[in-house]
Amino acid sequence: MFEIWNKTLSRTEVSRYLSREEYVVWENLPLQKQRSWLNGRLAAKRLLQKGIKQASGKRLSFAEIEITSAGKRPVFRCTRQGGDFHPGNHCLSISHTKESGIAALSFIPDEGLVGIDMENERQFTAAFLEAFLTKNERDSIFLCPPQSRDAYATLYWCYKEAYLKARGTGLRTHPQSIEISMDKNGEPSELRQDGRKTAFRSKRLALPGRKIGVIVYAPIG
Amino acid sequence: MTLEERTISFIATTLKKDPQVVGLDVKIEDLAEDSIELFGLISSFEKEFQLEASYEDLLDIETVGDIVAYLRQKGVE
Repeated sequence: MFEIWNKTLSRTEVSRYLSREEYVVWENLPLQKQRSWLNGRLAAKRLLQKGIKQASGKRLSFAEIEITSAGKRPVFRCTRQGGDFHPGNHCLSISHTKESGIAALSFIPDEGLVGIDMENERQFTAAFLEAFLTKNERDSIFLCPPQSRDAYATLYWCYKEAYLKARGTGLRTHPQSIEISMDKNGEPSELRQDGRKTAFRSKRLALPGRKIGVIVYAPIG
Repeated sequence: MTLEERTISFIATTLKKDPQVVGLDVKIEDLAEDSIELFGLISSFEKEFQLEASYEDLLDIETVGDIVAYLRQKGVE
């Protein structure tokens, strides 16, 4: 499951959507980070609200679903009983840009761990490409038509970051330790971490504008 | 130019920020727009300051002042 949020709230509305602890975190963020953080949180809360309703018939308000961090991974709890929807069985991932937030949720026993990433398509310098892509990946970019290369490179970043989020390390693991084989349409066929082939599933998201987003599922362990 | 000034100038230029907002007590992740910018900044430190730095060490750095202290520890002046 995934959800996107791009509605702007007034400061008064924000207090109704966040728990007291979340509000304190939000208030203490630099002003330029508040909106993107909120977008990500609200996408996650709406997703969880739907999941809880589906699983247990209970409708919790946004403020009753609290999201915090455990290391690099967001975790959630329901401040009111969420019925049969157990946080421990679910994996949550959040990504955000200035304009919108996006969240993905997996039911761990069936789907494994999940990571989501969304970026605005952008131009990368040669130095940046060299820093985060392997040689094989850089070579594959140059097989694409020139007008597609920026999107293709952004897609590589999204897949890597989403996978590392699913793994729980985020960018503490160097992106070059992951090598992805993608066809010219941007479909990944193989993922290797530190040279070893790794099981994964992925889904590319249809997003507005020049936004690129992916979800990656990875097994536990 | 002091190491502090050089570091602030480098970060401001790389992240396209006004140097006035790049204070020594400011968190690096608060200056970067997103993870791509943050990674780009971290990756470019080695080349800019000609040092051998481990990626993990650089990720542990929190503020601009921490970067200056790290560079000094690595013998950069």
